[in-house]
Amino acid sequence: MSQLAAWIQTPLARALGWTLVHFLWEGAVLGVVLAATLRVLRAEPARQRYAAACIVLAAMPAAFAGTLAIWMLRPVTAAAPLHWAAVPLSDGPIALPASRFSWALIFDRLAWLVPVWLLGVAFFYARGLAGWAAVRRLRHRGVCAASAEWQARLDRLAERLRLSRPVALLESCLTDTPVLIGYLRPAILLPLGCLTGLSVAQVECILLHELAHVARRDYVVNLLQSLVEGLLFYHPAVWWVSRVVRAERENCCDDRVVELMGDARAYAATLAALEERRALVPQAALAANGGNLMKRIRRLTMESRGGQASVAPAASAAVLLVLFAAALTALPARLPKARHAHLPAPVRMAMAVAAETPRQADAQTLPTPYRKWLAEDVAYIITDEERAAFLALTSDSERENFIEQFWKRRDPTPDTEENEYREEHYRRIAYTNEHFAGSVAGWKTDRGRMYIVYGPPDEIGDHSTVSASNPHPNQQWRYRYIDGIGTNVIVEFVDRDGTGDFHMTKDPSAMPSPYRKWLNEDAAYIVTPQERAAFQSLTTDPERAQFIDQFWRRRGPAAKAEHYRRIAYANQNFTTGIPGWKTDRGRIYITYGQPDSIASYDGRTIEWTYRHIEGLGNNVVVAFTDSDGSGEYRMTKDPNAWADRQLQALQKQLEDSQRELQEVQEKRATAQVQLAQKEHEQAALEAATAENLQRSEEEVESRLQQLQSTLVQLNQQTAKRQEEEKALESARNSMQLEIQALAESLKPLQPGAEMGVRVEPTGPQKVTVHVPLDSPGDRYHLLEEVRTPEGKIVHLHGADPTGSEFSQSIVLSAGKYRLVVVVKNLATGATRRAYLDFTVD
Amino acid sequence: MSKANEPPRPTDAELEILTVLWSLGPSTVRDVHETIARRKPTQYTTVLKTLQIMAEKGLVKRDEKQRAHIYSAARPREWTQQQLAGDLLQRAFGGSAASLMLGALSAHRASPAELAELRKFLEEYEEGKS
Repeated sequence: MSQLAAWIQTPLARALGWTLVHFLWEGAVLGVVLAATLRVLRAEPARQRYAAACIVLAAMPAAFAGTLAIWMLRPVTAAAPLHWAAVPLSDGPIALPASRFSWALIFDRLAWLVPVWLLGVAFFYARGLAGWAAVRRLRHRGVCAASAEWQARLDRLAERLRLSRPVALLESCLTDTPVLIGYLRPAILLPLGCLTGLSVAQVECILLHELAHVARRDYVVNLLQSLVEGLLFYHPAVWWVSRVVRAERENCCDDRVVELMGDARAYAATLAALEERRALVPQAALAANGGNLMKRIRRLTMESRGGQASVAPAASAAVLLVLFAAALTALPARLPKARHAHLPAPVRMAMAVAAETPRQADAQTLPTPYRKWLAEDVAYIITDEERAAFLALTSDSERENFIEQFWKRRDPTPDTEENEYREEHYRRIAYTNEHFAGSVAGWKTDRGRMYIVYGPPDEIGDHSTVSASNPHPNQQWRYRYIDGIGTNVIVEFVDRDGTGDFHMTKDPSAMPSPYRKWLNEDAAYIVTPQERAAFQSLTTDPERAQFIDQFWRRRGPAAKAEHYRRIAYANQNFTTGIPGWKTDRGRIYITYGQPDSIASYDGRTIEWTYRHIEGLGNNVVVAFTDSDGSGEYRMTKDPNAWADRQLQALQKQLEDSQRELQEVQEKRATAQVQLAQKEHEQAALEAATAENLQRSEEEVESRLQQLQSTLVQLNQQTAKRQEEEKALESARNSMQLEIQALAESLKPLQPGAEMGVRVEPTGPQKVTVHVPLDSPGDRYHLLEEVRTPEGKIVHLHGADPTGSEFSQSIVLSAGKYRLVVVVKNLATGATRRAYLDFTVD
Repeated sequence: MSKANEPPRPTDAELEILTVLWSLGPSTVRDVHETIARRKPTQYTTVLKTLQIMAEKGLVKRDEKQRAHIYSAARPREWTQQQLAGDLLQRAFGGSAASLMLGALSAHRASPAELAELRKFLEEYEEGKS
């Protein structure tokens, strides 16, 4: 939270805050302008109204950006540094009337609008992104390509509109209305059933409408429009203008369709039919919230009823006029006063007491303890400015306060009770008085001065013994480094008179004062260590002058003038107890120039921001804090340290991204291996499936053949069986006959005489058999056998006799015979059997 | 009818096949494959496999009377559309998605009053034509 509170104090956040407020009236004005323009263009083609609305919509973010730019530039050019005059050393803040800063107070609240607005923008953009993803999904999900016939129709229509990009025609089960998706690869989605449910001419109308969108590149305009809506979501005029753009866009496409198809009423009827169809499909989520279809249909059929369209813009305009008026009344009062609000408190105090001029005073008028303090205690370390300021003081309490501040400024650890600097300083004075005192007090000697100002040397070469080569006792002090003078400084002291008073022979700052000043003051911050060493090694003034000349020439034509301007500026604006050029702010200002923006948080901390510093990077922020309220701001945030951190962070990022890259590459490799496996499996599966299909077909085929041959076999078998059955039948019949005959034969034989059977001998070894028949006319079956006693059978007859008597002659050898006669009446079935024994002589 | 007997929500691949079936009417695997392949390269066996799975799930019906099996969607398009309307993404971002699409009709449906007016207009138009 505190970070956020700090952030909204930065120049960018402040500029954004003012821009948000100013856009209230800017947006309102633009909205009113569009409303007026639309009234003028009421009778003109939709194209012109669309163009007007588009221009106004584009002007809105432009106005926003312009305002933001003005507010970003303003604080740097006009406001801050001029007010950073010397800060008084008086204690206690000066109370200011509260009313003077009331506008600043209101603005401090307004600044909180910025994070709220940013949240809103983030919300609308996130929502838009999700919507975009949903649309992309719609192109691939639940769609099928329309028939080739329809795609060809669409291509012909696209040719009529002279479209170069191919447009895909898809049927979708997820949309309930025809829509156009995509810019680079546009596709028209038609709801399922649309192609079959509407007539060809009607569908062509709809396709033309969508193709007109493609030809007009409306998809891109619509995307940009959504971006503007999200950025300026808080202004109702933006939404209204955007709605006008959408409505007029549809009108433009309608006009194009009518232009190409001719019949406006038929087209209107198509739109109406489409909406009717949509109502048939249930859909849960979308609320029915007044489309503009009826308006379009009226427009198409020229049934315009006046006055209907003006209500919304009028209401909007009224709202915006009120906002505008409010903004205007707020504006003039705010501007001049609020500008000081962001200055640090010391600056405000300085402004308040700016009229007071310091009163001069003479050192001689000082009371003794203070005179001693100034002339002895701190004689070597007090700056000229501090001396002047001290002399200007009038009361002892002020002086006491000054002395306290003087030491405090030099305290390396201002938070602790002890002041290490002061203690060290007095220790040095005591040391010099003890060790270097001769005819004068120790602190006044050259060695004393050196010791007090620069501390104990790192090395002392003592040549007290007098010899031929060394006529006078002397000492050489070596300092490894002295700030402002250089490295390896050697100071030589010689006691020429033998009095014990050593005098400095080689002043470390022995070069003539103007050159020393040049090196240690003028160019102190910009001279490189090499240049410094080179300059120090010079011995004559012409050489030095030439060196300085070259030094500036190396740094470019205007460098010298700019550098001295910066020093003057620093001395003018940053001087407190110490000269401006020596302060931290002075150092930064002289080294890097005017910061690009200046911010102050609580009056104690100032932040300078540089957009770019060579070698340090972009957006370098330097912070200065006035920790003790003395008006001297010390650097708390070193840009160099910042750059190191930045470098470390970058290196870490680099390592991270390299690691990520490696991981991604590994993943990709494994994925490729997996993909290859998958493809292999897929191919194997497909091959197997195809093989299976073929094999099963072959199997069916062979099975069928098997079955057919089985059927033939079965048929053959059936025929055979039937034949066999027939044979069996006849066999059975004959067997029955045989059985019958057998049965007959079992009947007892009657004596033939009873039946009238006679055997007459008709000659030697010749007889004639006579068998009477009962009822002449019937058919008979006659069976006769003549059996010898040995059992030999002689068949007499085979034919069927008719008539009243059957007779037959038989030739027999001599012997005894039995004649067996079976007579069957074929008509009645009655059978007679008889026998007759006879002898042949 | 109990909820358990209803077919599950179709996956994207299944929805695509359903769309083809709604568009073409009852079709053979070959018909479905040809239509899908017009839009993106697809294997015949993939379509066959998906249809078999869908038949098991109860998303499509299979007519086995003829030599080539005929598939048809088990549920009408409207029923599935309602089933899909519960899609969270669709519901949450339907509004913003709608403003990103360009259509012959506005994203909002017509109100009943407007529909009545439209119907009147259509009737008048038909009369005027005849």
